[in-house]
Amino acid sequence: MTHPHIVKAFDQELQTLMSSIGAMGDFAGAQFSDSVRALLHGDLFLAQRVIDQDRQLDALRRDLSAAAASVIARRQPMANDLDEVLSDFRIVEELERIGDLAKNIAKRATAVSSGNFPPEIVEMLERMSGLTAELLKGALATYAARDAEQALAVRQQDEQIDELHTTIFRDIIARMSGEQLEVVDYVHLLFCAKNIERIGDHATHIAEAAYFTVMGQRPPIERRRLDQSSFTKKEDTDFKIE
Amino acid sequence: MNDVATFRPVDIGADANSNAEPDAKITARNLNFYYGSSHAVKNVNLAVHNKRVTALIGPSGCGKSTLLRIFNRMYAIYPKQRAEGEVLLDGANVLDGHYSVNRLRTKVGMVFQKPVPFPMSIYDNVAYAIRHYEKLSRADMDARVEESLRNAALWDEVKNKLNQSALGLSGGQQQRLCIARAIALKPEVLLLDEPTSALDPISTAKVEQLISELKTQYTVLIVTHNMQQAARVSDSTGFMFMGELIEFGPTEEMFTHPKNQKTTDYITGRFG
Amino acid sequence: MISMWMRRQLTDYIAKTLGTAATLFGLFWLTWILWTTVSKGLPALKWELFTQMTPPPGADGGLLNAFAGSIVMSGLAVLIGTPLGIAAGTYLSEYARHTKLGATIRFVNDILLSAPSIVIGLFVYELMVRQMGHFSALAGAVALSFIVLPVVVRTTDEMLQLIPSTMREAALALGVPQWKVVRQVLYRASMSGIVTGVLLALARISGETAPLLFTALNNQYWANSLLDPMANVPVVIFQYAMSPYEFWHALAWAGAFVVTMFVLMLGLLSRWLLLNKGKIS
Repeated sequence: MTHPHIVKAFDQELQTLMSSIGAMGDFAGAQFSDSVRALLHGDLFLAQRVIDQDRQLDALRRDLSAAAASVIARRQPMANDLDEVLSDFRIVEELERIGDLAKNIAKRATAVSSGNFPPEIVEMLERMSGLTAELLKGALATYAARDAEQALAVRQQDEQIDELHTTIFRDIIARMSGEQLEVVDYVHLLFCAKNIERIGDHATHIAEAAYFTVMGQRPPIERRRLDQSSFTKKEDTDFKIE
Repeated sequence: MNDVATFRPVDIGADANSNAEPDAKITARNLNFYYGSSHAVKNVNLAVHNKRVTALIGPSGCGKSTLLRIFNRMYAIYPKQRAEGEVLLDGANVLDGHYSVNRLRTKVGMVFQKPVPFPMSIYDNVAYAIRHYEKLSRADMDARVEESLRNAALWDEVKNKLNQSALGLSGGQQQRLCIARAIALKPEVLLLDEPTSALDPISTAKVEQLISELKTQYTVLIVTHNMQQAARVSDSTGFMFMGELIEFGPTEEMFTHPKNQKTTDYITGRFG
Repeated sequence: MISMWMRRQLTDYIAKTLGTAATLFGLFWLTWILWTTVSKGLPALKWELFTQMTPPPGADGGLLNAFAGSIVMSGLAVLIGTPLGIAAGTYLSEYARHTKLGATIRFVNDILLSAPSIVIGLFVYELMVRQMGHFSALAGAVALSFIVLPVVVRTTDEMLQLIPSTMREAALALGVPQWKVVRQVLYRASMSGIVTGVLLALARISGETAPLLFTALNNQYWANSLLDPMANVPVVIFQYAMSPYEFWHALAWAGAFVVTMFVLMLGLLSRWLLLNKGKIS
């Protein structure tokens, strides 16, 4: 257990940054959950709200970046203090991008007719977004708790999300050859699935930043990327949907 | 679903109670100062806000220390130095010949760059000025000395050696002793002339923490050549150059978006 | 063809040799004087020196009244000269440091400092002895105080000037009036230096003969009051050294030895004081 800083205001500033980022993370997570719900249940009102509220995330990013810069300029943090503030910068960026992706999903939610979604796709998307939301929450928790080990463990959860994304990707393309839905809807779903997968990636970046805060360096092992969607060929989608 | 997060993190670096417009405790008006024929301070107008920390920054020789020392008429002991203009403390011009210098110095205390403990015990150092002005019983004086040392964050370190010579303390402790000595008279304004430039980083941090505690009771005017320190501890900052007050404003603005090009050049280290 | 480097080496060597030779020359005489004093004075030491009075011509005795007389007159001189000297030195340092008046006073003080002591003796002779009609210990003390005074003035002035101005300012910044600052802070800070000055003045007057010759003269017996001539060691040495008696010579050497040792002690004491208590800031 280390001593507090002699100048108490320094500790207060770091604490304020940490709790602000926690709050920003909660907000981004809420935006994400809302956007997926809006997409899958056709809730246009909710979708619009998500779109409008995104500017608050932008404002938070501006303010927190400026605050972190102010800490560096005035306090000249060293060693782990510096690692912490640099991680703060990184996490704020990642959260803002998560917010942008959620906004994108919400926009697409206004363009589709969700009533016609095949239930299998809906179920897979719900599962995927649930895992992603959990991953984001977990990453933020390891940051708040300064738990490097847990941060590494949380990263692994992204593998499931990647696998799910590959499956959804191939499934949707396979269905597109059928007559069940408008292609437009399917395309939007493809993009939304991609957005969710990217949110998962950003969440793992947050976990890596949490690791950096504690250990002062990046995680030693590169995580496995199991998203095969970019390698999808025609043969992979040649199956009939019952 | 969840609350719209109109979450606004507390502004980092700004004062918590900076909402109300503070009043001026001590003001310099059309202040000029001369070392013999050399014009060292040129027509300065400066309002130091009550119970806030105001910092003066600027390159060497810009006149910031000279300006500081006008506020308690320290120049009066040197025959070739003179000041013109007004310094208003709660409305009264303290540069006026009729205003007693010693009375002024009980209201406006000063701490110097180099710690100068008197060659006497720690207790006597703090009690020195009190003894001149007040007749206190032994118990009252003890309480007063303890209070001053506590307010200077030095009590715990010296409470068992009050009768030892003050010269045996470390540099940082000596400086805090000088602060205790200055606040023993309960002045209203504290002038700090580069109080940490002779100290190591830990002592500097302790004094900065002390300043943030002191400002609840005293108006503080600090001269420093360390810009980060000015940015850390002060609410308002003034930039001086060649005897003139080039710019004065809230610290946050001064260090992020100064209005004057000279200020920007000095702050970014581009000074020619 | 000597190179520049070699020339410098040569110059260095010559200078060093000459300097060392000069030092040895001076040390040689100093050592000889000290050696003579010790070798002649040490065997002449005896208890009677401190128990018996100065003897009449032809007899043997001690130096009791001479020692007593020197102590009394030196002590009185220090008592007169020190307060005046400290006061004047304080004025010079605190109130007249850069003024014309101050410069003048310092100049005059330096003249007095290096004035030949016989001139001072003559002056006091005219001033007091002629007026009173007789020699007196008081006149002797006054003459000695004229030697003490400029030393103390100079030392006080310089010791006070050595105190950094920040200490003055720090005390004045507390609203304490200047005279109190001087008394309570500055004197405390420079006390060891001032005391050293007094000790050095005392060492100096311990051996002064000329002023006493004109003022206190000598006395074979006890002086009944300060208005009588009083015995003192330097004049006794003077008298006895020129006498034809062997045992008087021995007494003179013994007296010289004691005085030399006394001055040596004073020197060591002042050095110790400055080393241990000389911290000003």
